[in-house]
Amino acid sequence: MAGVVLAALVFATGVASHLVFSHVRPSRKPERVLVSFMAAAAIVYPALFLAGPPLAPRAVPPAADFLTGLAALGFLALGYVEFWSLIERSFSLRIVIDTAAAPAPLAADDIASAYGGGRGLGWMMEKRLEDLVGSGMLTVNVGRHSLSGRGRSVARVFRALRSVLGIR
Amino acid sequence: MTLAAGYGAAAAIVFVALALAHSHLVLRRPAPVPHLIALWLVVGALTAAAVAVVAAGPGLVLAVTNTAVYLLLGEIYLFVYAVAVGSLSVQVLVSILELEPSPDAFARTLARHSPEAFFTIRLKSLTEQGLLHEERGRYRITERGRRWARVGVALKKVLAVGTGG
Repeated sequence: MAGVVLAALVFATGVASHLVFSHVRPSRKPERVLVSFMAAAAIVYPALFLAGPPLAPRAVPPAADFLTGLAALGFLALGYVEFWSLIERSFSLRIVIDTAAAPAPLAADDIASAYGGGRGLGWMMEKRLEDLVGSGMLTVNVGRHSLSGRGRSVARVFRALRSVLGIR
Repeated sequence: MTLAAGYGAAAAIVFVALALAHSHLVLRRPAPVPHLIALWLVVGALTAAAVAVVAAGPGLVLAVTNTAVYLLLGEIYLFVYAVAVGSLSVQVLVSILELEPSPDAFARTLARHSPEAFFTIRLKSLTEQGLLHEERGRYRITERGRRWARVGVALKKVLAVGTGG
């Protein structure tokens, strides 16, 4: 329980720091900033757990207390990363925001060309391809994209998962 | 350790089994993510209540520690599931893998997962959810959609994220 309380405090501090940093120093790679702050929280938690007195009565053995706190931190950090990603890049949210900003009803083609502040649908795919190249999943050789070793491994894992989950 | 985390781990296995059964036996198609989130929360609430009442020892503390373990494991499953079902990037990777060694695997993948097809599916989905209203080929925002848009814009400002999409 003390571990869970500490994890919640570390997470809240990490999120607050991330938000302040994001406003003060906008980054071209905001995903990396987000991951860095969550990774820092994962380092700070064990350090504080070992260094300080427990924040709540320790009703379970210290190892179990530590691990369940780590699980709580993992749950909160992963949830924040998912929520942030949803707000940052949701295709549906972007369409809703663009349509709400329009003064009159729009044809599908108008929504498509206004997508992403006028950058259009092609930009949506370009952005994802850039991310796949940037994260080392795809390689580009003389203008041709192909799977890297890492991309091939990830693709195999997801192909197997999609099969198990019944996704065609 | 078993008392502090074992019930949560067992509950996560039950959740995954129920999620798979829901997809394969009940719906006979991949379950929508909101169904699985609802199932995840229900199993979590039942686990917390059961541990608090039944477990030997400090019930409330064990409910909290087991729920933390359950929430993390269930969230990992939901994350992987949502990515496998909905991520365009993952669909591109899997499609290239399936079309290799064809030299035009990438071009065929782009044709298979065109932004236009993706866009049409999303427009239909947003209309079905009551966020957009379609009339004679033109789309306007509904009141519900306008509320979502306001919340989305506010959250984008708070999180200091860009245009997105």
